[in-house]
Amino acid sequence: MKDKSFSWLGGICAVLGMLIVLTPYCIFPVCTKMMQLEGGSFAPMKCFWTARSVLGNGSIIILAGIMTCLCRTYALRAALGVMASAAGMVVVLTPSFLIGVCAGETMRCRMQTAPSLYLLGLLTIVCGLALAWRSARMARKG
Amino acid sequence: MMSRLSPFSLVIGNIARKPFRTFILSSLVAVFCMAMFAGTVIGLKISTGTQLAADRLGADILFVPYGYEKSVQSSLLRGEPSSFYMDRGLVGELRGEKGVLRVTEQLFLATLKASCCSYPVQIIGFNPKTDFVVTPWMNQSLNRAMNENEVVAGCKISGNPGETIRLFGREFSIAAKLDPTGMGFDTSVFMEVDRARRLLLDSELGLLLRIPEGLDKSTFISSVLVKAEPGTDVTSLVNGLSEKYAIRYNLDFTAIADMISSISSKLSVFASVFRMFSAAVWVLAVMILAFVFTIILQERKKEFGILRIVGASKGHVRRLFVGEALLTSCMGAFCGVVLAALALGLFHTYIDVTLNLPRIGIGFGKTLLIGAGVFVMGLVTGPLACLPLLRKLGSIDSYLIMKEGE
Amino acid sequence: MANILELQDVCMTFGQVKALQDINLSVREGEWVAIMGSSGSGKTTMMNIIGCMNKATSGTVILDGEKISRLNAKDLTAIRRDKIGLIFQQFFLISYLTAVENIMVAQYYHSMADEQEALEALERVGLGHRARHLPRQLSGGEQQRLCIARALINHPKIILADEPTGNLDEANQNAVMDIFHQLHKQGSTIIVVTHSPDVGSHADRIVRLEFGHMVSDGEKKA
Repeated sequence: MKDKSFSWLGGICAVLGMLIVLTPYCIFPVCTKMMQLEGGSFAPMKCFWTARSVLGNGSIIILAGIMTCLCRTYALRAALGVMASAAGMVVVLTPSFLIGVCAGETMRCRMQTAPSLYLLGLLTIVCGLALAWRSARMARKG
Repeated sequence: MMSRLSPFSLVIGNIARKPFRTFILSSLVAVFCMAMFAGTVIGLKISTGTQLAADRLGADILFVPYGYEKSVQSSLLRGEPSSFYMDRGLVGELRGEKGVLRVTEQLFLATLKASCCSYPVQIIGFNPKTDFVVTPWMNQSLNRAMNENEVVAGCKISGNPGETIRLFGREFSIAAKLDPTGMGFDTSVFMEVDRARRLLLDSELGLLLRIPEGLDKSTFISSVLVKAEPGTDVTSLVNGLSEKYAIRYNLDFTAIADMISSISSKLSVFASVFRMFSAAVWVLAVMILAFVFTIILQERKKEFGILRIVGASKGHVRRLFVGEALLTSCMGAFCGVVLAALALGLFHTYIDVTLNLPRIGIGFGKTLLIGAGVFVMGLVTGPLACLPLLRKLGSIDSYLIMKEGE
Repeated sequence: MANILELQDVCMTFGQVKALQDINLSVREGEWVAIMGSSGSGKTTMMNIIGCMNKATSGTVILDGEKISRLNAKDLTAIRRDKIGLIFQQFFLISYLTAVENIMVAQYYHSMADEQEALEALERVGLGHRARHLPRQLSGGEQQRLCIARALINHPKIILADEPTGNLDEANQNAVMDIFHQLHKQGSTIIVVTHSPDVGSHADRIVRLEFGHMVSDGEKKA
């Protein structure tokens, strides 16, 4: 019974990570075109780099979720929970503060991609904290 | 480890024992709360937004080129850029009409979407000498005349006062930014009408915007706004003016109040449908909960009998049962309201654009009040569903358990 | 010793069926009485009346000096909670509560849940090491000992047991009977309803029922 709840939390974490990875590329894709700089050269826009960044973070969250299901040690599960939470926090901060997205209010990345990432990031933080708390509690019970 | 035993721990224990069932029942309540919250907030946005628009436009009648009534509505209310043109001659003629207090013209230009990173902006050229629509709002942010290379920007345009904005290949300085209006003004840029006209004609992109043949290129405009004299019957005035000028100038005309109320009623239908859906979900939730609670009661008859045997009164047992229903509803209501608030808060622009809603918030206080109200409605769903069962619950006696044990 | 329980001309009728007829019984404080009879003799009905789980159709029931025959359901519940410790053949434990919590529930509805006292009660019946286990993790004998601990936690005037060893094997039956003997030595009043001669033989006195009538009421022959 106890292991089932960890499997659930791990599974949810992995699914959230998958959604985070897919959001900027498939679900609510960001701009792929380049923007022209002052000197005439072209460079990807902020939303492109945001997508790249959350790809990495999402992968970490997927890994944390899968490992939670596979491992049996409460201490390790607690650490994975904290790791997933931290990655979720970065997912929230990336489109808002760390990198950002396009400025226009009705741009797709600002209107759809960024809010989706905020929501998924928040849910990942909650899931990760729940996992860490439950693991710590089970470890204390012995 | 200390065991804490209380009615609350018994309630928690029972709910935790059946996580899937609890999840399903809570979800029912959550769906109702989400629908109710969203419907109420959207309904309030519609009524707030359309009322605000009616107050802020300040004009009674609007004249636009024939076929462009919808375009100007979209532009004024939702900031969807558009361009259309008509002859300025109407302005002078309308000034002489009985019942007309003030007349002013506007020129609408839409920049084109040059790349995926730029976005079309509505440029509104206005006549500072005669304007009574934009100037009242502008004076709150800028109390001097704009110079040649200055614009006033709506609150949602990127850039701050002092920074530059590029329009039709020219750079302009942002003299001031307007406070939020909840209308298309928020995504518009304002400049003097002659300047706007010259900007269009001088730019290469301007050549792509079709200016109808026969229009005087030095004076063409997009719309004429009319303020009626106090006490005038606007409908009669509209009819009279349209009879005189509509065909001659090839115009669409509308009483602003009618336009707002027509939009409002269309959107209100949507909000009403949402609310009806919420009510239907609530009724369904109560029925399903009542059904499930009946099964739970049957399942746990023995357990309640045991509690009676060890000394629990009928009231104790009833409170336990209602407590479980209350906690289940509480979890569902809380999650429903929070998720709905999150979704509406995070995706408000997307929802406004998709559903053509006024782009205005209803305020944190009102949102909190709505959330609290919807939470309470969700909270009572469970206890309401198990009310009919309380009588049956009270009749479960320890004696029945003994009989079944024989 | 004063009478702790008196039944005077007690009758119980269910529709056309007379389950008990003119029952007269007195039980002294500290006595161990076995109520015996075959199936349908009325012994369970008698237990329900003594245990304040049902009201007699007619007659008088006096428990610890108080007439309980005409009390309402709420008052009967209070009497049962305060003065009677019930032990059943089917155990009737709450499946999702641990052993100590099952005892604390009985304490809670009586006065106040006290975990320490509940743990001591478990120690007395030899279940101190199983306090945190759920009923399904206990054997039949352990569950019945848990029931006994629960029945005793509020220091009842009467311990009322319905076929306490009905679901137990011989070893556990003996263990439960040993506990009853200890309680008897300590001065507890015990009424056991049973159809088993082995169980009945432990009591000081045997009351026999047949078709709702009391056919004998005598001291057990030594």
